[in-house]
Amino acid sequence: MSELRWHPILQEWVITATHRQNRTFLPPDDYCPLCPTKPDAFPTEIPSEDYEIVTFENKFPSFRHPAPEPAVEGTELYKVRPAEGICEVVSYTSRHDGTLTDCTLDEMRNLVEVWTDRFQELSSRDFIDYVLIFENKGKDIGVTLYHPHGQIYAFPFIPPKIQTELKSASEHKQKTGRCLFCDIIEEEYKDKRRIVAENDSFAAMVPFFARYPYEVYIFSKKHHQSMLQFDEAEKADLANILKVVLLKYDNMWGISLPYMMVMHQAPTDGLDYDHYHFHIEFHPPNRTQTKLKYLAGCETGAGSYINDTVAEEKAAELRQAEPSTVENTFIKL
Amino acid sequence: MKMTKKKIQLEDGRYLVYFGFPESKKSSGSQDTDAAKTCCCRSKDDDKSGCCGGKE
Ligand SMILES: [Zn+2]
Ligand SMILES: [Zn+2]
Ligand SMILES: [Zn+2]
Repeated sequence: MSELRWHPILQEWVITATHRQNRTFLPPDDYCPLCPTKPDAFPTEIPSEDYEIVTFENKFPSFRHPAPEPAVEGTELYKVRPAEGICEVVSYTSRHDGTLTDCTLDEMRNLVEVWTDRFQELSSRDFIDYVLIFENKGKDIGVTLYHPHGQIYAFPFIPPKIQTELKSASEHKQKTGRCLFCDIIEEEYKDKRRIVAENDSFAAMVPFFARYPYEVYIFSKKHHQSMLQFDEAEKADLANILKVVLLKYDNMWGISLPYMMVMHQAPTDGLDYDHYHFHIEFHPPNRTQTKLKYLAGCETGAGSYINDTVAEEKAAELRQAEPSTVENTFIKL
Repeated sequence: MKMTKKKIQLEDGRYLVYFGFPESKKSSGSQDTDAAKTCCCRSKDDDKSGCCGGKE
């Protein structure tokens, strides 16, 4: 059973997906649904004996196409609608052990190509208004499968956080005539203390307004709205800066740092979003090597974040963590 | 950049897409062992043919 229930107080859709309760939870190491199916072994989700990158429809999706009719009847106040959409899993590699950080630069470049393909294909569906590419990494984030993988949610609506960003960007554009995100990049470069890494096409930073201690934003230097506008050099540079940021995260304390990685791109509902600007956000839950930041009363209850660190110091820690460069990536400070 | 795409349907009706990259070296750890096998730089045996000249 799944449906969208309207939250009349926050004015947003809540996705109810009760079938997800019995999804696979931490299977033993010898059975992984994302490993290739070996001869005479129990079949996995992926019937081939080997593969490079695979995407497939999630077995326990939050959205479906076609979506079942809602199980409850809506009212004027309590609107319901079918949870129409598509959820895909992206298996980054056939290797079970390791993480995205361990993928080679070549493999990351290939992944950028796959992300672009999926973004293009899913956004072309008329019932899809937004395509969210993301990864939850680590048990601390609630990950149920260890095999390196990410997800793609193709939404039938524009998610609330994106709506807020769009509203801010649109207001900034009206007031100044400029792009909000381009102005943020410029402001960060004026100060320089919060820049973590950069290359020709991308800049990574712990922004002035970070809500998590080790929050990193990667912005395209050019004013692009989505990956579809990247040329070959930009795609290679995206792979490169991802590799640098991921290595820094893991090298900082010598642990595989958990994170939520989300790609923010323009909606795909056919309207004009020229005022929006491509970026990737990383939200690692760690405050220290051993302590996590919990979204407690103030955050969950009031939507107000308390960050007990300052971005300038956390950016310096990440900047100092190895490496500062991977091939064509460099810091010009 | 070359990318191959093969879409199949799983038994329960869901689709799955295999992506292949014919131009990129596949590294399942074998890249390193292959290099170790063919290149003399790692065995300090200077006379073998096919040495990468320290590039690997
Ligand atoms: Zn696996
Ligand atoms: Zn911009
Ligand atoms: Zn964003």
